[in-house]
Order: sequence, then C-alpha cells, then structure tokens
Amino acid sequence: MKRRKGAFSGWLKLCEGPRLVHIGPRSCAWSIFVLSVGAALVFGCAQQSGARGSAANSSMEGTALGGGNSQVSESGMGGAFASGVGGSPNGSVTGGASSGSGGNNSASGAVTACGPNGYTLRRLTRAEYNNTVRDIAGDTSQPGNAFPADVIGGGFANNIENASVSLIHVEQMELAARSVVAGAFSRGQFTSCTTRDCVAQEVARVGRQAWRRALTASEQQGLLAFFDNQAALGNSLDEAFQATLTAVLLAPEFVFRVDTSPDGVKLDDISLAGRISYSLWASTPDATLLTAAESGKLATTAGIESEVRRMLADPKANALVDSFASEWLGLYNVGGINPDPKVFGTISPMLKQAMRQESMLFFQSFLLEPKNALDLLGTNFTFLNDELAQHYQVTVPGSATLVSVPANATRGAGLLAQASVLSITSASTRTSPVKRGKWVLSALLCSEPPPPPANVPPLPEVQNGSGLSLRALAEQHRAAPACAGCHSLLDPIGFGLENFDAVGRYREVDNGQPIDASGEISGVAFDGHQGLIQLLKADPRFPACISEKLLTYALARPLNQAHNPAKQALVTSFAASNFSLREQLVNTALEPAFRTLCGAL
Amino acid sequence: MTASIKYPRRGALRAAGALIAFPWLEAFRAEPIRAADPLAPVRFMAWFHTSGALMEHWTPAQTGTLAALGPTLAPLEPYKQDLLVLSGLSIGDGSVDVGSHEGGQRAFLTAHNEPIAGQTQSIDQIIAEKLGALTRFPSLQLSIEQNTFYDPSTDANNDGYKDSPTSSFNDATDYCSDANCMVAFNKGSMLPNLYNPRLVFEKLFGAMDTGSTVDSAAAARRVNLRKSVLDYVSGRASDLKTKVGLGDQRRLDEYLDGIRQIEKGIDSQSSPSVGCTPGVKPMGIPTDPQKTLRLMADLSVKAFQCDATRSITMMLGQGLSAMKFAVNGVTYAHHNDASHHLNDPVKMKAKDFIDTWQVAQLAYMLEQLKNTSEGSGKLIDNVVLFYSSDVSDPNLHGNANMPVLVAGRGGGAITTGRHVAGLSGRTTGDLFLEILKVFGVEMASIGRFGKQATQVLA
Repeated sequence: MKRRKGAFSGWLKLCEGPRLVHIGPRSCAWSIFVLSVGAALVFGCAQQSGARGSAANSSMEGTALGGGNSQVSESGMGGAFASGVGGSPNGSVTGGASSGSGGNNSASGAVTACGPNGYTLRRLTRAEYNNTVRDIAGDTSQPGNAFPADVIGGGFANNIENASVSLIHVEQMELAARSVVAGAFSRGQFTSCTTRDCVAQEVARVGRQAWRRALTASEQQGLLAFFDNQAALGNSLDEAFQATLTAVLLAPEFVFRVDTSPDGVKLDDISLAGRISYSLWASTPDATLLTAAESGKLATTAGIESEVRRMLADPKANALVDSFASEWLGLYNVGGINPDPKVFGTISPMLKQAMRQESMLFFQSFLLEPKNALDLLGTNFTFLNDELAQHYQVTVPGSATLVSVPANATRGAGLLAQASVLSITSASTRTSPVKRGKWVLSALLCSEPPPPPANVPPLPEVQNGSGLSLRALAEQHRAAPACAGCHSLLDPIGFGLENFDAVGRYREVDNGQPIDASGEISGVAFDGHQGLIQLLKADPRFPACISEKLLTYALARPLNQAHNPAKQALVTSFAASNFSLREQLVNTALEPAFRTLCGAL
Repeated sequence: MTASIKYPRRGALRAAGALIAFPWLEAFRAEPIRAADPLAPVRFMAWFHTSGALMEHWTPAQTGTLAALGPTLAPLEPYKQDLLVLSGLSIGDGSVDVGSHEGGQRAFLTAHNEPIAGQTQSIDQIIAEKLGALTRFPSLQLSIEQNTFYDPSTDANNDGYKDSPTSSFNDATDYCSDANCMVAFNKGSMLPNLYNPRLVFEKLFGAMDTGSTVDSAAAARRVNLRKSVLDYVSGRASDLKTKVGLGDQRRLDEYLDGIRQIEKGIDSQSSPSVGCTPGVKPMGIPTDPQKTLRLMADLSVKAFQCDATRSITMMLGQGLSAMKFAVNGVTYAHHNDASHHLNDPVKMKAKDFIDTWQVAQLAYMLEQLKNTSEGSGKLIDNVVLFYSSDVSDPNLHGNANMPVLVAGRGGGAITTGRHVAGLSGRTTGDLFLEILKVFGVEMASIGRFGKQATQVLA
C-alpha cells in the first residue's frame, strides 16, 4: 500500500493521490448502475471505488445517512457495517467485501435467502420488547430502552444480521423480566393465584402470549415443576409463581423470535402469525391472531388477508410510523441534529420534535387514508404547529400541536420540503448537497452509491467573503477526475434542494450569492426542488424502492438476489394497487415468499 | 425441561464462587504472574486516543532514556519514569489498506481491520479469557463519548447530570450504537461500552438487586430464586441450541454467556467485599467529559483494588469523534472540524489542544495508579496500559507511524522511562503478541497484522 507522505498543498489534489486500484465486484456493479442511468461516468466512479475489503474510508464530506452530528461518519460504517451482509456494529462482523442489497458477498460464496450466517433467531429490538411487554403485561415503562441501542444502518433495527446479544443485553433483560412480572402482578395483569390449578392456567395463558405459541405439554410440566420446587424450598406461593413467570419472560423463546418451518422453507402457521404481527405491530400476536393460526385460518390467503386488514385498522399499526418510517427516512436522527446556534439561532428540542412529528404525521396519513404513495414526495398538505410554521415563515395555524394545513406554494409539501429530512442531511453550519443527494439515492431510489475512497478530507468551510457559494466549492471539488464519477451523480441532486437551508428554511441567497438550484438526475436536468420532485415522482425506481423497503422491514433481513422474484412481484402489485401503502402492506403479507423462513421460495 | 429440577451445574458454580468471591487480598494471594510484588496480579488496560495526533508534536526528539517529551505529551512529564514511548509502529502490515478511522479502530485491539464473526478476539478479551475466571467480571468496557454528548434538554432537574433514572443509556440518543463506538471484540462481536459511572459502580459493587437485606434468610432465598430462574433459562437455551443452525447457535452462546455472567455476579455479590472500599456512588454522567473520565478512572482503580476485573478498555471518544472542544473561543467538533486540519495552522493548534487534553486524561489515570499502594509497591507496578489511536496524522488518515505508549511496569516485565524508535515495519499486532506474553499467553500470531512478537518491553 502506498501512502501519501508529507503535507497536502491543497484540497483539490486530494482526490488524485496514488492509490492501488483494482476493479472488483463493487466497481462492476456500480459501473452497471452508472450505465443504466445513462451517465457516461463509468471510468470515474469505477476508478474511485477499487475493491477494498471494507467501506472503511473517508470522503469529501460526511455522507452517512444519519446526518447531524449524532451519526456523522465520513463514509459511513453506515456503508460497511450496516449493509447487512458485512456484519453489524453491535454484532458479528465477517471478513470480505460487504455488499449492498445486491448481496454479492465474496466471502461466503453462494447467496441464500437466509444470508451468510443462516440466522433465523431474532432478538427482540428495543421497540419490539417494549411493545411486547405492553401487550402481554400492560407494562408501559419501556424497559427495553435500557438495552444497548439497536443498529439501524443499512436497513432497519429489526435486521436479523444485527440481532446479536451482548452481556449488557442479557443483564438488562434479566432486570426487565423481573420488573415486568412484579409490575404485572401489582396491576393485576397477571393473576395472583391461591391454588395450583390457577397457577397452571396462568402459566399456560402467559406462556402462550409470551412465547407466541401454546406451550407443549412437557414445557408446561417443566414450568410447573419449577414452581413446585421453588414453593417447596420455603418461598411463598407468590414468590414461586413470580419466579416462574420471570423464567418465561427471560427464556430464549421470549427474548428471541423463533421461526420454525416443517420443511425448512415454508413457515408454519404459528410462526407466520409472529411474522405478520411483528411486521405490522412490531409486537406480539394478540389472542385473535394466535387463534387464527391455531385454527388453520392462516393457511389460506383469504384468512391471512382478513387478519392483516384487521390488524392494520388497529392503533398498534402505528408501529409502522414509529419504527418503519422513522428508520426508513432516518427521522430518529432529528433529535440529534446539532445546527450551529451562531448560524441558525437556537433550534429548541420542542422544534426538533415538531420537525420529526411533521414527517411522522405526514407518513401516517398515507397509511390511514387511501393515498398514492408517490405523493409522499409532493402534495398539497402537511402538518404544522405554530412553532414549526414560524420556523418556516409560513401562515401560523394557531395550534400548539401539529395539525393538517394546506401547503405553502413556494415551499411545496412532501418529504423533500420537510425540515426533518433537510436537516438530517445537512452539516452543522451549512447544507450538504452530497448528503442530500445520497439520501435521495439511497432512501428514495434504493440506488446507494459506493463508499468514497480513502484519504479524502471533507470540504473546507465556506469562507465568508470569499464570494464562493457552497455550490461553487463543491463544483471545484467535482472537477477532480477521481471524485467526478460519484459526485456527478450525488451533488446535482442535492443542489436541487439548495433553496432549503440546513435547518429546512426556505432561502433565496447563500453566502451572498443567489441560489442556483438547477441540477440533474439520471441525466435529466431540472430546476429547483419542484422540478426534482416531478422527476422523482416519475422515476420507476421510487415506487420500487418503497416496495423493497417494506419487504425488507417485513422480512427483517437484508435482501439479496434470492429475494428478487418476490421483489419484482411486489413492484407489480404496488402499481396495480395504485401505489397505496396500505394495500401494499397487504400485498407483502400475501406474497408467498413472505410466508417462508427467509423470504424466498 | 424435565419434571425434576436438579442443580448439578449450580453446585459446581457455587463451589467456584467460593474461590473467586473475595477481592484480591494479600491473604488470598492469587496466582502470581511475574509481579514486582510477586504475588500481585497483573492487569491490562487499553486506552483509545481519538483521531490520531500530529506526530511531529507527539514524538520525543531523543531515543533511549526518556528525556524531553514532545509538546503533546507534556502532561505526562511527572510520569516519564512510568512510560515507554514506542515510535514507528503501524497498524497494518502493508498487505491491505487498513481503512482509515474505522479500520484503524476495529484493528485497535484486534490487529484485524475486518474482524471475523465467531473468531476475532481483541487482546483485552484474550486476557479476560485467561484471567477472567479469577475475577467477578472478565472485563469492563468504558467510554466517555456517547453519540451525542451531554445535552441540557436531557437534564430536567439541571443538576449537571443527564437524567438517567434506570440506566446510562435509557433514551434513544444517549447511547452510542454506531460501530464507531466500540473497540473490544469477543468472537467477532463488538462489546458495548458503559458510559454512566453510576452504572459502572452498581455493576461492580452491587445495587443490581434492590431487595431488602434486613432479613438475611429472605435475602438468601431471593438470591436462590433468581439463580433458579437463570438455571431454568440456560436449560431452555441449551435445548434450543440443538434445534438450530450454526449462526443461531452462536447467538444462543452469546445469550448463555450473558446468563453465566449474571450468575457469577450474583455469586460474588452475595459474598462480603473484604479489603476494598467501593467509596461513594457517582450520581450519573457529569456534563463535563473530564469529570466523567475521572470518575471512570477512579472506578478502574477500585475495580483493580477489589479484583473485580483485570481487563479494562477505555475510550476517550470514538474514532470519528463528535465531541466538542472550545479552543481560543472557537468550538470544534473534534473529528470534523479539527482533525481534518488541512494544514491550517489554526486547526492544527486546535487538534494539538484536543490531543493534549486526551493525554492529560491519561496523566490523571497514571497519577491514580501511582498513588495507590499494593503490596510493597504501587498499583502502577502491576499494570500494562496500552495507549494508542485509530490513525496517525488524521489529515492523512494513515495507519502507519502510530502514536503508541505503554505505561506501567506489568509486574516487572516492562522497563519504563524509555523511548524506542525505529519500529517502522513492525505492527501494533506484533506488540500485542509481546504484551500477551506478560499475561502468560503465547500466541504465534494475532488478527491479520500481528505476525511476530516485538521485543521492546523489557
């Protein structure tokens, strides 16, 4: 490995340093993508992304999806770790090249739907744990928040590849199990028994809810023997009973979701119930769903459909907003944004919360009403409260809580005109067309660019009085041949959003220069965010990407080539359903691959 | 689970508990490992310095006996005699690109930039594996940087501590989940850090079980109940293990390891803590990172004194640190603003300031180790503290010519007060192989880059 020695004389040279370049799988995949979008930039980007063992390198500036200061990383372990196959920050890490959803893992040879490690056990995420104990024990204290945070990069927190278990997990789960049981007894959610028959009944009832299936006779017997033993050792009935239920809530059958399949491919009905429930509610199946599974109702398409529709109508389906949308769009990052108060004034925690809420309510309205998901990008309404409206400098709705309001004509409405998305893709002192471009490509089009090469520091700060806008600086950077390949794709998308500053306010001027919000995507020029939105809404990759994200979340594992048939079938059904999110959730649950162990027949 | 409940495993654990429950005491002298006081155990510490350093300000001018220190190392002036400065080591061996901050951080203790699932062990874990059975906790992982550092909006009662009613990381933003946050690897899995000194204290010295201890018979019964639950669930996990594939078995092993650790913790908590005084329980996470660090350093000393663990990692921040520092009235986010200095003298000054700050935290740690008596000597005589970083000069993102310090005398294995230079071509992995020997672990190679032990410590 050659290393650059000595000082750099200027940032323009940084992209031209001597590097070992191999054209490997990633470069090829990328080149194909470049060709497919019709940009003649194959050489530039291939040169930039030589086959490196990992995505661990630096870049012109942070392009991590996270944005803000909370998740800033130059290249994104986001890329290397989070893309599923490579491993997980909190979990196991395999050698070899990490791959995106394309799934060409060079280290492990053949690609199977179950991934390189063949995982089928899934530790509950924090949110799933919280929702589950809420539903089986009425516990709303969110004990799962004491677990190490879930890894969200490259997919969703429920990604099975990231579901490793650390000592802290187990310690906290043990504490949580004890406190959930004690709380459920004090609230009367678990019956305090005076007879052994009552204990037997209650163990069977709680056990079925907690393990998401009826206990087998020997399991039931084992738990009762445990209870008898503890009672015989001088513990009170209550103490012995509580310990028994604590054991139920600490058992691997509770803290892991255990999928089973009689033939190794197709899920059995009871596992399917869990799959459906955790994908729609991020929680455990209720009694109705368990009964449906046990009675054979889930063996038929009509049976599944009626359960799914029932569940979508339940308020618990809001987990799709709290988990799916928040993780898909990166909204969980909004609380961590750190705009420089010297540049933007104070962005209060309340305002940050309103920013996040705007997007959450907006997304929710697409779930609750028969709307066209393409309008997520541009429509005629949004949700504001007074504080956020003042921040946007638009008409104040006269409400401290967020309410539905008509869109402001200049701003427009839709995800790309919301402060949440605009601020998590900005730096602390300025916008970042690179991050914004990357967000559009990865979150909306599922066309994530490869990670940038090593030894490239970020853009210098904009010098006040230099007369150079950020755009001008970035364009200089892009002039370097090694950088051009990828940045020619990223930056011109981000430029289209330059009328929004780093905290999402509309503006006409940047550093004394009038904003030039012209840009280009897939070789097509546009002017301003409205132009960009029109092109994105017409891009077939957008609905395909929504469909892919929904499937990824529902299967709770990274997709690879083995999942292509299901992916393609669902793209077709999405269009046939007029791009209704609600219908697509039904379609996803009805897709035969969804009913398999790893998401492929 | 069968109908009859037996406790063979429990009995074995309890027997082991009797051996391990007591803190290290001269009266219970544990196996000696080349100690200056031949009966004191040797402990390992690894401290992670964030985002490299300007090596021209780090490296001492002269080799041999440690004379004038580079300006960045100035805070260590009083501890020169406890220090070994090693210059020229690389993380990588030239065979692959280590990969900037991220690869450097992963390799920091593993000598492997792409740790392998199910395999890779960082040296703190190798040492923990060797010595962990003798202590209540095989290892501790500490850090002072969370994803977002202290934010007044999370401090409702304005006491200067982040509100944390149940744990150090009880909301979405105060626990660092990014891969950038961790350096310890156990069988390829990263081990999360503890950020809250209060939680570290409770972990080490109890308060996990808040049940009343007035009625000692009832307390003993409660402890047994808790242990029975753990016994039951490990039986379930072992059963389940026979029905799943290899990857899932690994997950269940992680779970079983965790259960075993809790069992060990209970066993030792139910024994008296003789000969060590835990001191005052910290309230939480102070607003000032230096205060957090000092609490963690003090707790590290206590952990060693009570022989609660013999292996501790401490991160002064993550490789891509977002911690903020005010230098000459300007606020710099460490990684983004200062470490990429682009040879701008103002930014280089800021980076030097931050590095000196980090080194000053090490000085505090060494001060505590030096002030703590142990046997006929001091704690520092029986410690090996490895101090290094993810990259060298952060503007270059290189992983060659790394800043590397070793502090403490490792029970007599290390000759301190020296500067050894000219180690280019050798890797930190090579140094790990030599460090491991101090702990009685002989390995032919480690990770991807450790091929042949150095001979620089003695």
